Amino acid sequence: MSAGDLTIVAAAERWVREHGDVLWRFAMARARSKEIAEEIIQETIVAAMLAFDRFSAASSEQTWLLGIASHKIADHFRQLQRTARRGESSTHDGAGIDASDMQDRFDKRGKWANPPQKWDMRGDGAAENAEMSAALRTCVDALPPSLAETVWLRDIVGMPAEDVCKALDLTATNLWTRMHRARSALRACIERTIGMRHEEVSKLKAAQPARSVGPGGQGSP
Amino acid sequence: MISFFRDVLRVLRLPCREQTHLLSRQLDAPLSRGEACGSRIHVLYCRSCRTFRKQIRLLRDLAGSAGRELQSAGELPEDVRRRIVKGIQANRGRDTTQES
Repeated sequence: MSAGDLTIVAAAERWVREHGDVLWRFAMARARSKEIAEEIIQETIVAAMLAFDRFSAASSEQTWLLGIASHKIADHFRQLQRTARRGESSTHDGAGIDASDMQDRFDKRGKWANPPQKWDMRGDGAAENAEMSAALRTCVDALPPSLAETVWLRDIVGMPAEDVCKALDLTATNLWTRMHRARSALRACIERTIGMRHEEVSKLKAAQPARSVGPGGQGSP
Repeated sequence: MISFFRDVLRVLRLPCREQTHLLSRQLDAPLSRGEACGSRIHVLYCRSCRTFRKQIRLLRDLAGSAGRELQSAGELPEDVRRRIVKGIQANRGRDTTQES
């Protein structure tokens, strides 16, 4: 084993020590499985060891590692999508992004053809936000992997735009385009999800006009 | 000064599709003063773009709070850490020209 190998091993051990927690939280949040998160970190560290000489001090180690982990996670989801497509293809339950969310909502002249609807924020803000966060999560998970990874790093982890570009090897323009596509799709997806929910609520209310249920469903005697 | 007005006028002529690009880009990078001003004027009279702006900002904020929750979501478990370090040691001396 050469001295170079020793340096790489020492560096890799340090990455796990210093950035292991961050990588773990990131991988767990995205994969939601301990086994897969572990696999992703393993793969990330190995890939980082192999690319050791290409690490440039222009970005921080953590940014660099998160970028690699992001790619590994995107690969993982692409694989899952391929497997899912090979199996049953039409098990869509209406949750998550669907083709209409990715569609252009403008006419030929660039005017709104299908303008955004105001989101009806009834009820208290906290509950609405919690519901919307849940919808957001479902919608982000259903984004194409390349868009999901940019949303994760930029808006969820909150990495500065320049760091996301470095981590994912994108130009600023690439990043803006991706983020714009992702935000437009997420906005449409949330709008549809909320719309569906409100329809369900009105249907339920129409079906049971006599029963009024208080918040939490536990009326006082 | 000239470039300021040039940017304002250029942005004011843009249709809503391009306005939404600017509104999104503004969350990632500062616009020029003229662009920002033109965009603000457009949003003043365009209700749909105003709704769009409000909603993408809300989504960004919700994503951010999801991220902050993530910060407190636990540490790399010790057994996993040990296995990963073992994996590193198994990897040393491997042909480093091969991508995994």
